[in-house]
Amino acid sequence: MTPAVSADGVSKDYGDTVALSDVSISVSSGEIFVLVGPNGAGKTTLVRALTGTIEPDEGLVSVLETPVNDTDPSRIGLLPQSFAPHDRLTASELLEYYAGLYDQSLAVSKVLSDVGLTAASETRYVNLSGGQKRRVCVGSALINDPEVLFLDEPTTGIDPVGRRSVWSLLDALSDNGATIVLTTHDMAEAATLGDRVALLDDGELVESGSPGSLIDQYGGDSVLRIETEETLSEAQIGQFEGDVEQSPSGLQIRNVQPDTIGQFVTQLNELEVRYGSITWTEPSLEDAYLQLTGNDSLGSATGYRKSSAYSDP
Amino acid sequence: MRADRTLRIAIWETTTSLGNLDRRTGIAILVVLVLLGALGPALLVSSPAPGADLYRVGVSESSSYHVVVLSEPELQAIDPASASLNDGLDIVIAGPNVVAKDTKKSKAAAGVFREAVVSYNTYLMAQERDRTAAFPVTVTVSYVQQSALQIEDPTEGTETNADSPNGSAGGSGIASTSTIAESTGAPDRTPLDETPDSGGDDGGQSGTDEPDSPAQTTVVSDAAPNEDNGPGEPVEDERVEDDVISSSPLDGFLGTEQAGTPTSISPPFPLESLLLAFVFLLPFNFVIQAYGSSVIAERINRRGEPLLVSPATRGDIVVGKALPYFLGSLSITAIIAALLGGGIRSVVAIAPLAALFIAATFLAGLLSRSFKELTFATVTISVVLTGYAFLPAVFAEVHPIAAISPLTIVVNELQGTPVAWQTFFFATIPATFSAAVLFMLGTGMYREEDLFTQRPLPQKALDALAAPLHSLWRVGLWTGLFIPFVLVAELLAVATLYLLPVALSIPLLLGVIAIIEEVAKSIHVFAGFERGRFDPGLRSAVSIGAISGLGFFLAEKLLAITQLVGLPNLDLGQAAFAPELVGLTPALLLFAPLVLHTVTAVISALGARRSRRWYLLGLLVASGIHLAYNVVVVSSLG
Repeated sequence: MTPAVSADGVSKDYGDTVALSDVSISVSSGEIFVLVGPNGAGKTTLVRALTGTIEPDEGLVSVLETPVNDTDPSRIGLLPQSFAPHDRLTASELLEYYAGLYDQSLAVSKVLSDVGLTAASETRYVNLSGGQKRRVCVGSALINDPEVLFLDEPTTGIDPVGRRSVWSLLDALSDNGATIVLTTHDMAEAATLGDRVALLDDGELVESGSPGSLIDQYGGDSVLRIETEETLSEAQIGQFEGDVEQSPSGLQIRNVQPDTIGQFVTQLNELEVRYGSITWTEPSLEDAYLQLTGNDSLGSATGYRKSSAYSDP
Repeated sequence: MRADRTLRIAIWETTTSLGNLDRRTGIAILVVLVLLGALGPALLVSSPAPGADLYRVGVSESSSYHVVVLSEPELQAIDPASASLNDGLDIVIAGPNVVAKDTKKSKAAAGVFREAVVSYNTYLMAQERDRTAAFPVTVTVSYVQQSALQIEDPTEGTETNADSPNGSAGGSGIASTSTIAESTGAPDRTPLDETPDSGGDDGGQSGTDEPDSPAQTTVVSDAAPNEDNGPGEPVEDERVEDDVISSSPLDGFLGTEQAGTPTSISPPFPLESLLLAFVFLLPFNFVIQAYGSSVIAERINRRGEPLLVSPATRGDIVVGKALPYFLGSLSITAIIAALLGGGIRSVVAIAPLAALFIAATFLAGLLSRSFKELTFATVTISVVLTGYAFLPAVFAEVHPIAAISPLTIVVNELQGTPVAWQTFFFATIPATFSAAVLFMLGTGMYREEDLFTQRPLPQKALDALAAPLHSLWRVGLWTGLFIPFVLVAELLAVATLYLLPVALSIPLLLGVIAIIEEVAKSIHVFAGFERGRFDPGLRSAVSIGAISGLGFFLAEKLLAITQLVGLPNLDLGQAAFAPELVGLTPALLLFAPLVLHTVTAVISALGARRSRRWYLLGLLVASGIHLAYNVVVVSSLG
């Protein structure tokens, strides 16, 4: 199957800074492909190379089976990362303008409805909330009903409810056959939305694959963390089953299944060890990323991440 | 490019620009525009005539000269019974005699009075139905020594010369030519009769001396000056003229026909031209602020990025965004022109200037990293382009240097002065080409990497210069495209330096021109090497330098348009442009400039391939050689 979007050996330097180094990806039609990485990883540069707004120093980029510079622009949609439209115009006026750039476009009212802004259609951009503003911007990228949609951090600044509505929208677009390439440094978003995820670090593609496969392969074991008020002796530690380590704040036990957590609690009580909290963490995309990159640049300074800790950095 | 998309972007730009104005700012701008619109006509209608009521003339109401004095704004009629020469009067009309004191002002007053008499007589004669009777042709042969043939006429085709004692007092305008045929002069006409008229509609007629007119007997006087001139005691007019002429600092440019009054000594203060130029130029400074803000806001807020992936081309975007400001400028110009009585020619003449303002601002908006930098850039643009357009236009009708400004066309039209097509093209072509090249450079930079990256302004300028250099031949092409800037810069240098003494200005100008041309031949070459566009090898540098020199040599022939208005005939004009247009000898007519430009461009390129410091050194050496060449050529031309 011919990929809808492909990059082959793309490199881009800005002076001494290597923004992209020999990056190759392939995105199938109808797929949601997520580029993940911290700030400066090269996500935005790759999106710009994929949309043809920058020229790679090396490598080839194709979109919809043609070199990107020859691709019909009306088949592509782009939401830039830092995009601030004129703030004295209303949401509908802004979308009407972008619609006017295309020979064929969706009805403004439909796009406003899709991004959940029908009620705010006549509100000036300046008076919209942060999440509403971002949704207007997403709407501007959708106005030409693109076959391939590039979204650079589409949910940044959007509240959880708004974010989930954008996710639903993107899912629906994908279900209708649109190919979506989006960037995020929100691992939860990547894991939730992405059919496949590419992990970027320092301009290099570290790994790509489905979120599940990446976690299975690189996420490591589940971890039970017990915050104790005292340091346990070697003898006490030896009474626990499994791979147990003493950490500065307590115990860290790997590869624990949820149904066995009660046994550890019983043992703690029997040993009369006072503890503060018990946290069980299953492996995540973030763990896989950290494992692959060997750094902690995504913000897990404590070394402890809760199971729901796919937090925004 | 597609017109509908361009128009769509233009409408959008207009909408957003207006939408971004709050009510107070909008009202303030409207008030300024209304005031500006009202200012022009008001200034013209109530324009304070320089020197109005400047001279107090003692003349009784019963005198036939009383009406003459009233007709001349510079003269104020005072009853001689209430004042005397020692009591504030500048001259006294006593019967047919003019009585003046031995002061410059008094003598100037006498000159103005005499001109007023001539004008008044002409006016009266013009009322006659029998034109032949009113303006009889009288030929008077007067033999003079050859040494007296000193009077030159700066206007081609004018018959005024010392052989014609009647002369033409028609000023410097072409209109005087036709009048001369009708003009008749009295045999006893004095040299003062050859005074250029101080301008105005009677310019070509003021030389007419009607034998029966009262002026005939009034003006002519041979008596020696006397500090204690009393009523009836005449003034020696010829001596007045000598004093006045010797005081003119611009005789070399204006000819030696200067005489008479403060307003006709040296250039009369061109208040009307100044006001007109000001009124037309001022709105551009507001327009470019709005446009520059729009360009940089587009970049800072990354509004342009979605456009770059839309079907709109870079041309659509650039033209669409500039169009409202360009049309706005033209609309304001058209309104002002209409209010002042101007026509389409004024608007067409001003269009390249408006485009140049906008193009320069476009580039400044692309290069600036912040609004602060943009402010600095737009102020620079305002000062430079205002200087280029405004200062020469002030001297419309006074000096050929005025022809370099499109505003001169406007001022001339509004003042009813004919404008030759050569003058029109000369005034508008450099600005047109410069604007086009600036837009081309800017459009080349209208890419994500240049729009949204924040690099120091000089670095981005080098990016812009290096961007189009995809091949060796493009180096020569872009060198050629810089010629309009070379022309504008050299004209600006001429206009700036022409007030200095020739002994100082010509060497200075030769140096400035050498630097301007060497920079034009090498700056993009340096940018190309800096950005890795060229192989920094020796052979490559020589090839690139040679191509650049050849491009300059071929394109500089555009400088020949300076001949359209006779600019090279001026001392400074010759220094500035003659070395580009002629060789040392006929044999070298073609090859000397070619060799010069090639050699100096190669020298700069050899420096540019190594480093910035070496480039500057190479540029210095190249400029030195160029200067030496210019000195030799100008010296050989005498």
